Amino acid sequence: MTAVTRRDMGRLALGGAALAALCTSARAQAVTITVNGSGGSLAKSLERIYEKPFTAETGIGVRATAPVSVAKLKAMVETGNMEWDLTEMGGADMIEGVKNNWLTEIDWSIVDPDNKLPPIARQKYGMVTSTFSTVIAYRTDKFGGKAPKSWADFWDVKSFPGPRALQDSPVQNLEFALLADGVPADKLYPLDVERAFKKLDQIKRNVAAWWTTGAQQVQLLVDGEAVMGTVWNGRVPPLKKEGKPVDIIWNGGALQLSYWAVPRGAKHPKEAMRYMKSRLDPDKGVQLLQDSPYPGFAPGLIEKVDPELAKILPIHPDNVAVQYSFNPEYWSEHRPKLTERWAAWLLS
Amino acid sequence: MVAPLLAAPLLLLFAIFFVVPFVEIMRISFSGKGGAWAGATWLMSSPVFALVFLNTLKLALSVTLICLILGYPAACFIAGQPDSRRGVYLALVLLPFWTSVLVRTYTWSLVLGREGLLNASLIWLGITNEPQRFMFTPLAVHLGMVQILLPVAILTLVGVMTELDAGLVRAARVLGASPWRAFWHVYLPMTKPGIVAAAMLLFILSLGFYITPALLGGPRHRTIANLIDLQVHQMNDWTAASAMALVLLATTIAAVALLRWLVPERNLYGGAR
Repeated sequence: MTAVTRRDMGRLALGGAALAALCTSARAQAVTITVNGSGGSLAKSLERIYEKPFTAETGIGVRATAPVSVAKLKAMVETGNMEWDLTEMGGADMIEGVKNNWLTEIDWSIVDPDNKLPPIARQKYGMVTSTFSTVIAYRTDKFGGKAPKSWADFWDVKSFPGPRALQDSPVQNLEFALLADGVPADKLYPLDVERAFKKLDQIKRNVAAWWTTGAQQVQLLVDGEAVMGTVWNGRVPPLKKEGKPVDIIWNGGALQLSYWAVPRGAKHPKEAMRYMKSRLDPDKGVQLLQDSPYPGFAPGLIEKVDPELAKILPIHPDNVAVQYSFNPEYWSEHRPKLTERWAAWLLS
Repeated sequence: MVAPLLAAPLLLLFAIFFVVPFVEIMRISFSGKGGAWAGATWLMSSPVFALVFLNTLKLALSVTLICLILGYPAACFIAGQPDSRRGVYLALVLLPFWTSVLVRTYTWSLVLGREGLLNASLIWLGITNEPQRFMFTPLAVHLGMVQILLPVAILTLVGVMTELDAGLVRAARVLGASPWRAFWHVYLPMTKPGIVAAAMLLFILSLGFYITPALLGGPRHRTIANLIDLQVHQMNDWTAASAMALVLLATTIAAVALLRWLVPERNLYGGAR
């Protein structure tokens, strides 16, 4: 029998160290936060840019779930079975969440200790994570070289023939109808509901499909089910890159904010807020914008963006100038009644 | 002593997955923000509910009828086959039955789309120059639902038809009845319990259809199940949603009661003998 050599000892020590490292990382990994977002191809980018580095740095695991659903949030709060530590929220849902006490107050000393975020992004129960727009998208190969320019053109089925696609919701569609009818963008609210539905009557026959999800918006255009329809601005650039004949119009788009919020009863609110802080890194923000043109208000972000990329962002000054600013307060208040009227209108 | 014990697992399952949610839905339906009758008031006053409810009933009825009309001859044919071949035909019916409803529904959208298989064929054949609209029409909803439910109709009918005493039809023929008369006066009445059982199943299943009308019909062809979804996800009014769920359940129970009254129970489950 040979004696234990120095090399063996070395191996042992290495093994021990590795084991110890495994143990400590396992202990740190004990906390895993569940982050609920919109899923899709974006989830992969988020994992690469934010979630993995965050786990490597803090030892806090991140589990991503989808989709964003205020109904699920309500169910989880009311049954006391909160699965999420952090969730994405739309503007009107955010107001609903605050009104119904479904959310936890943000501890800004964790998320933004140096107070660098603009006030619009720092709210009591949520942080603005991104901006996005609902805009018109159209098939560039279907109108003989002509391009629609406005909501009036969307309604003009003589000059731009072919089926349309709209969201199955009164939200924004009423605004779009009023814009098509000539109401100025800054005079939309409170909405003239009668006038909007009357205008919608004119286009109803030409709407071949009423979408409910982001994936459907572009599917309808690519399949030719519709030649013009509404989409979220970020859905189109990847299609253009693939060479698909689609483009968007910023004119008359609905500029909206989306939020991060910590649900009431979340199991790891502090860890969730640390993750929120990691989402404010401008360098990572620039990386994310390559995959998803939905910029937030991370300080220093816009200065770092390539000017070519900036042109396809909803908050580029040229794009802001032609859009209207979506009013979530109005919709939080009127959505149930108007949704019911919308559903009845669709049946008639 | 053993019998109740044997039923225990089923009763437990029933209690957990039916009674508990049902009680919860009753509670939500009668304890909303607007008081105990908020759900009922909404049902009575909503412009959407009455329309959608009526449309759902009409859809369930027409799908049931179409399935019976298409399924009956097919079932006759399969029941008339020798045992060895009947298995093959039944397998052909079961194969689509085992395929996911979502997959089958989505496939229809590929067939019926503007640039789908059907339009491409029609244009190629010169029947039409312009693509026709098939998606999001009553036709699309019916096609999807009938294709999904047809195996249910056939299987239920075959079950009853193979139990029949074929000698009775033969006797009628021997005694001089024409084939049509033998069918109409002997065969058809004997299969009535099967028709009623199939109709009951089809109607109840159609009432609760969700994914097929949503994908092939869109919001202009909403069923009650789709409207419940809209209430829960868009209007956040769970009181109304629960009230609708109760109406749907009551309609189902009423349909079952009606059929049991039409056909006594022993005939429903015990074949025709």
